[in-house]
Amino acid sequence: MIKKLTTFLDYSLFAELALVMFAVIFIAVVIRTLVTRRETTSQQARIVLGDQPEKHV
Amino acid sequence: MSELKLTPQQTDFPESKNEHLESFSYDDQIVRMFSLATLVWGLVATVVGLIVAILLVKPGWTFMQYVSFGRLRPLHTNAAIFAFGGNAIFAAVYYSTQRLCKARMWSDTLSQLHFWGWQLIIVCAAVTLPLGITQSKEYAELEWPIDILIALVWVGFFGVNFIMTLVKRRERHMYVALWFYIATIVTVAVLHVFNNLVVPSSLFKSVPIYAGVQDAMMQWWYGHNAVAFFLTTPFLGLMYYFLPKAAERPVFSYKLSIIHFWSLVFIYIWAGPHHLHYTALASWASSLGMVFSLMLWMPSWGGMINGLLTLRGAWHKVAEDPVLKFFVVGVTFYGMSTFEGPLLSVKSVNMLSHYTDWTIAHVHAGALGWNGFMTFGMLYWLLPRIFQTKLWSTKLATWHFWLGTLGILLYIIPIYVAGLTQGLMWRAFTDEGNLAYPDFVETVNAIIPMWWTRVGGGALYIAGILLMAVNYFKTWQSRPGTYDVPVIEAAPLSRDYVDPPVPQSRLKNFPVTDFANKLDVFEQAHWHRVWERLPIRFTVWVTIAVVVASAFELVPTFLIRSNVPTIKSVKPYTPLELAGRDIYVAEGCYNCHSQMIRPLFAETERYGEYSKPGESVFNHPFQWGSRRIGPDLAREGGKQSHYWHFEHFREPTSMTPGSVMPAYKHLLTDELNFQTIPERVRVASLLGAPYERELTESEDMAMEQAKQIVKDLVEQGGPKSGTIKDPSGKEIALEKTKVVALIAYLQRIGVDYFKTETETKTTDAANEVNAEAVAPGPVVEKDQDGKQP
Repeated sequence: MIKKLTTFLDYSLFAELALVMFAVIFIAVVIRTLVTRRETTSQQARIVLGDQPEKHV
Repeated sequence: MSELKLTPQQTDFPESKNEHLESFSYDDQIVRMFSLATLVWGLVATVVGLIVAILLVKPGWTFMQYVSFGRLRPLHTNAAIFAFGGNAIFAAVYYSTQRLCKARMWSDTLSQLHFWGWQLIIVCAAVTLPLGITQSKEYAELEWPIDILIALVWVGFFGVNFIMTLVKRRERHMYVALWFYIATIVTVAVLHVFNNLVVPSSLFKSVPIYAGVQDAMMQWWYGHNAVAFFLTTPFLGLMYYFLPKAAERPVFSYKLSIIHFWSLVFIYIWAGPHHLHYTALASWASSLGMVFSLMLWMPSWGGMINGLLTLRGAWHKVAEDPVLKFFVVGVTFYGMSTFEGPLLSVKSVNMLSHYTDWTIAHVHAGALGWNGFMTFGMLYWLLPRIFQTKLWSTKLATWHFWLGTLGILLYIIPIYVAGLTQGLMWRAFTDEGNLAYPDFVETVNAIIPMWWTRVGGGALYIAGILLMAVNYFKTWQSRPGTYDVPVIEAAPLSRDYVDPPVPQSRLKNFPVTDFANKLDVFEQAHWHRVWERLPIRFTVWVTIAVVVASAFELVPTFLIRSNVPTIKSVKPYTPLELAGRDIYVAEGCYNCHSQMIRPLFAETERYGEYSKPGESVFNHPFQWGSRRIGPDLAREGGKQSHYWHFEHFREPTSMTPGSVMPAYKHLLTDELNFQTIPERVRVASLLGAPYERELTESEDMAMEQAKQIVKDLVEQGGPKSGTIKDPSGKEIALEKTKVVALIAYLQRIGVDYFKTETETKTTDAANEVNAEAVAPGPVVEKDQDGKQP
């Protein structure tokens, strides 16, 4: 019965569902990112420049 | 080894105030090893590329079967992607991860196992591919024992070592480059495992569990994401580390890097079907691939913008520093390729470009420009640091840059012209409505001058790499007698670390509802900053994104029967045809010939009825191909006589003057091992082919069919004796030769679709196969009305 059901399903809906899913996630990620404080992301960006100590003993 | 004791770097995170410091040093020896491997395999990959480019313009230079275009081209692609690109990625990952984590790699043993395991895989590829041991799936040609080794090395050595290093890190926040590395490791593992699910028939031969449309979907889900997660994400990680280091300034927008990372990881997975526009793939899948490929332009350019704008205020450095030159041009080619890719994904553009050299130009703009130049920039930045000396010659590095750039342009420009020429000639009609260029070979000969120019471009690019090799060696020569091993001191991550308290609502002193206060707390994204620094949780989210996207695309392809309408007259291959098909696969014929006629007027006029999905249900693996250096073969069956094929394999230009196909004389004298046929039949049966008599009499059936072919061949003008002399002078009975099996296969391609019901029943009766039988898997069966679809 499940086999019959899957045969008759219209899978073209998957493409539209995928698009909606992506849109929702993308908007969530954008909102999350934009509300992050600038100081925080600046600190995170500086990690790559601070990964080696500068002073020698 | 001398040790330098270095003070901890002040950071803005709480752990830096912890008094307890741990001492460690970075493993740069592994970086030196991967860097050298990158250089060596880069030279090998490009030289093999040059050889195959020359073989196209001088096919007569194919002096033995092991160096034919069909066998060497996969060696070139695998060497470029996995040997050159792979070792470059590992050099980048091992250098940057340790420093971003403030931790040595978790296990030196795993690092070494990873290095030597990966080089072993490359050597295995270099040996097996010219021998014709191949699965014939693009960028996944390697046979099953090597696939298992790849999974072990990638996950067991590399993946474990990397994740554990993240777990043991001393820097709480995971810098964005690490996210790209996580995405790479997870996704490549998933892609590799699922695309390479096979049933072995011997130590050096296997059969994919997928067939036809499903195999095509799997293959290009893998193939495009091999580009995405092997050639893009790790190189973006490389960019996010080495470009700011070389420019001495932070990335332009960290927020942009977050957005473009998640968009890229999610969208890329869906783009695979753009390799299958207008083929026998379901239309909804094709459209899905196109839409997501178009959307992919945005996050890709997010990366490009971030890279280029990191250099704002530092452009004067580009003029002086070859490292920055390579990075700027590399990122620019990334932008160009990621604009062109979505453009090529548009169905109407793809109608022109598919199977042409436009795809090749696109690939090489990305591979030579983005991957190559980012690698060279990274190596030139690394050399003085890993060898603790000065770069031997900045001038030589600059010369490399200019030679390489010129080489790329001299490669891609003529090949763009070639691609457009091919596409336009294939679809050109006269005023009377006939094909303007009915002979395929005319369209090949028209682009040979462009292929010659490409040879020049490739040679220039290699010349640049040779300059780098000289610079590399001379820099290495000036290294100190003993390397300094700096001892770093840094505080471990506090076990008692407490996340900052949940922030208060910024609206609490305002007359707003409780919901508004809760929303404001949520907006401050405290919840996300918590899991963003947790490597395991992060890895899980990346895996979910990749797997959900993949499942959405692949599951329907397998579930829905109407995606692949069965055709009653399509039957499995005979035992001899199966053996012939395996020869087609081994010789790499798919590298030049497609077997997929699109429903476009120019194609149906040239090749015949367009290909239906149900015609390839027994094709394990699918042979739709992606290039047309030679004509499409989907309706080849019955077009030419056996004798024509015989002579064509002996010397292609004897039948098609101007052909660039090399001679396959060895097929006329190499004997087919008939004893391997029963195993091929058994595996095909296991995967759904409704064999009966074949299961017990396959050798006899194969010999019977071979003798009939030879009889016809002799009548048509072949050797009267029915034998042929091999190079040592020994007489070989033609029915025992590989060429006869291959002819059997070629004469079968595309003919079943046109068989009448009477012919089908006659064939069934002759083979004692019950036409009403339904077998598991992709088999022929009656449709619901008892009619042929």
